[in-house]
Amino acid sequence: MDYLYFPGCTLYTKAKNLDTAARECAKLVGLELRELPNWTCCGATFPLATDNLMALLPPSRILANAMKEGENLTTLCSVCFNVLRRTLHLLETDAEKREKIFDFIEMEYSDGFHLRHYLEILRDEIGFDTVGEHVKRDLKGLKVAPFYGCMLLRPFEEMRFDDKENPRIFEDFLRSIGSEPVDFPYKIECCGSFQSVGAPDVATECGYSILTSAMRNGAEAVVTTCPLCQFNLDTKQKEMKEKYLDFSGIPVLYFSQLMGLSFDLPRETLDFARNDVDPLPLLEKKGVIDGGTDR
Amino acid sequence: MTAAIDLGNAGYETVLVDRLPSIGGRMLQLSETFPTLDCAQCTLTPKTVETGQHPNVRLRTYCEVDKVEGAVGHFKVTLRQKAAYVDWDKCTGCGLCQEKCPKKIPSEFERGVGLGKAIYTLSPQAVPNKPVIDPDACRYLTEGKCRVCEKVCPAEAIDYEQKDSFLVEDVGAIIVATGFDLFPLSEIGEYGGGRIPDVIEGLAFERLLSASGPTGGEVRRPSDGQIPKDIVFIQCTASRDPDRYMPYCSRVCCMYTAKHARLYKHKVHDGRSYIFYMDIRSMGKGYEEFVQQGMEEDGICYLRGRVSRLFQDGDKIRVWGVDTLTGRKIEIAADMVVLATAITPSKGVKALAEKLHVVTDEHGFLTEAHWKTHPVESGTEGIYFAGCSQGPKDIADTVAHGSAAASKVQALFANYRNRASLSSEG
Amino acid sequence: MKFEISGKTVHNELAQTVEAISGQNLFACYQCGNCTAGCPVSFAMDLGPHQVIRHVLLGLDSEVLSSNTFWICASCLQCTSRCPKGLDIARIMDALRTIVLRKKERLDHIGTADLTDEIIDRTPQIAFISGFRKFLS
Repeated sequence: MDYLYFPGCTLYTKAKNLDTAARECAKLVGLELRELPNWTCCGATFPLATDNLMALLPPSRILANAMKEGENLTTLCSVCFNVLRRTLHLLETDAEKREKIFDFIEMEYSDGFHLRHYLEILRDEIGFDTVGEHVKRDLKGLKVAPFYGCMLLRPFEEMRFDDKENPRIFEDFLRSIGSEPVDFPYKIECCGSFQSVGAPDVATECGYSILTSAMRNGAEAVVTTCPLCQFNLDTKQKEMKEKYLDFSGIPVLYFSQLMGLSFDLPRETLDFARNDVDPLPLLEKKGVIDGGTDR
Repeated sequence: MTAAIDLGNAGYETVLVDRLPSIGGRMLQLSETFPTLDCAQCTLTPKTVETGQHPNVRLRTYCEVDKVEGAVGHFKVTLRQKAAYVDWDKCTGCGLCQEKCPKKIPSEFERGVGLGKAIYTLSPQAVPNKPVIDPDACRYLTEGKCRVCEKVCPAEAIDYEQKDSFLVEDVGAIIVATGFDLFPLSEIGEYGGGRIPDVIEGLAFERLLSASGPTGGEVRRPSDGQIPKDIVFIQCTASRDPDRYMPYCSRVCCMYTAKHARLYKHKVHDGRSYIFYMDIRSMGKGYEEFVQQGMEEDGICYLRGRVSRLFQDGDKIRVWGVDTLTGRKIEIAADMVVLATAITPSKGVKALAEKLHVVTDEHGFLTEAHWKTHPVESGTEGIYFAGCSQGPKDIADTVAHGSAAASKVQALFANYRNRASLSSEG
Repeated sequence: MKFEISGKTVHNELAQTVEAISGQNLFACYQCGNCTAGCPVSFAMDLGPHQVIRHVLLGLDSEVLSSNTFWICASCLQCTSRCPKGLDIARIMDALRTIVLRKKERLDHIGTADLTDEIIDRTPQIAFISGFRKFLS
């Protein structure tokens, strides 16, 4: 299985731990990822102003580039996925705007292009059963709360990723690698998104509500698929602890790190050092890794 | 029933077909009715008995319409008499079979908050008072075991060999009064998708309020049997929602929600009700006064606004709503949530409409010949509507509708009689 | 407290501009408040999203343009996803942001000079790119 791969701005830098683990796991399950040549930033937000065509140029250019290079494209970051999926939907349905945009960027549009999130490929094309076959390390039923956030799911009519009120794809994935998914009501609520720059205290509250909801429902760890969610939930635990003195915190990982751990990839690949809340103490306590000799 | 009684009284032979084992419809499931809070069964049973005993009315219960042929004046309706696995001619209605039956199943009559038996009579005041066996639940019919009902029946009325049978009725006119169903909770994801035990629909709350219901009239949580102290009622659930669910107003929910909250307060004096509403539609006689009394005398907290979502939070249900009158987002930790779900046509109405060659609208409600001037006539001569099959309405309007349909039939028959006598004269 | 409305205030230029940029019909809002009820950041807003729509429709321009609502909005689309009338409220919020940022004064909503090295170091680029698009003129 061949897919063009769009990393996005953060995946080779601050979110390397999402990227490396995912790519190594992809190799093992038979998913060939070929980096899209000359990729650029997607713009990080789908323009909601209907007269803003400029903001549609970057994602359109990425898609046009991908259309030239192949038939499909995948990404790991929820935000990139949302921007690209919504842009593709607009290009598919609004002929007038499509013409204007492609005229401006002087590129060709092809029909029937496939854009999939990495998790969708695992679910629909590789199968979670196959994923399960590659599990070599017992996760000892680690209780993991999957955080979907907003960008994967909404607007449902365009994203069509999973049920927007009660999605299951992440839970099915977690089960397939040997962890126990924990359902919690805040799994579909927003982490605060770019308000971490605009109104940071508001974002802190969002993250705190999400993490405490996961913890109240028995989660031992939380997984994400978005560098911004990861920041708001992992890195910002520092602010949460300053504001809520009794907040004990919880490890937040990228789903690919957990997947890589279950596939028994080398520790450097999993890059836990980038996670601000260290997951190693939890993993040792649960017996998923060995404190001493375990690589 | 109103139509059947009216026509029977006018001297016409009337056949009353019901797909359920006994007549009475939805009113059987209610506890009390607005605005008087009279007991529903006390109002209804004189009517069911009158219908059942009327010399001119023939009951064909536990039947479905299989085929309709012919035209006005001479319709040939083939009915499928479903196998009850009980010989109703022998059965005395003693009820021993139900008492002894070991198989408990979720009862459709109890709308998810109570259990029934595999052999059941629909309600304590059923007309006819005869049971049926659910072939998918019965241990003997599915696994070949048990046969307790057969053993205990003093009239030897159990007959596991019974089959569906067909019978034909020749009639001059048809009135379709197929009633209503409710929008399923399973399709409302933001309200728990039917998975939260203490989030129930209005009709299920009626069963909890009802003295003959699964809790003997005590309001108790389905999850743990505790008496709830804070109940949130949500009006307009799946109604008035053109983007996601039904665009129309279901007409009766404002009134029955007020009734529910009032009855709950009368039973649980230290309980508190919160009703999320968008508007209050209380258009009948005494209705507005009833609602106002609920606020003034029973202390119901009306909150103007919708609920975006609700979810299980420990042993409470967290409700995220809004009070637009203060502009504030409101959160409530409720013990129970009652959803006033949208009124929908009964299941299978579209197929029935096709057999009758009558039109349904996009929601499945039967389409009347003219919105204003012909509310009970279909576009097909000889076929009329009554009640919620045509659109949501309350009991008073349904009764009026039923009489209207009956009067149309009587006019039709009188017309034919006159024409026949004229032609035989001339 | 009194506000006189007339043909000059109801559906005025601001309202029509918001409608044009967002592609939404403000008259379709029947003020159910579902958006405010489900908004994860409405706790920090002085006007709920439904109130913003009301203010714009009636012509209470200065109140709505000085509210913090559309600046706090995280564009999470929960409001849009649950609106029973199918309104895209997130687009309405973005239209108001756009209107303010496009004014000739060209005022930014956040000061980029306030971003310390520490903030820039720890925060993923996504937050800056989307944040700058939402907050800078």
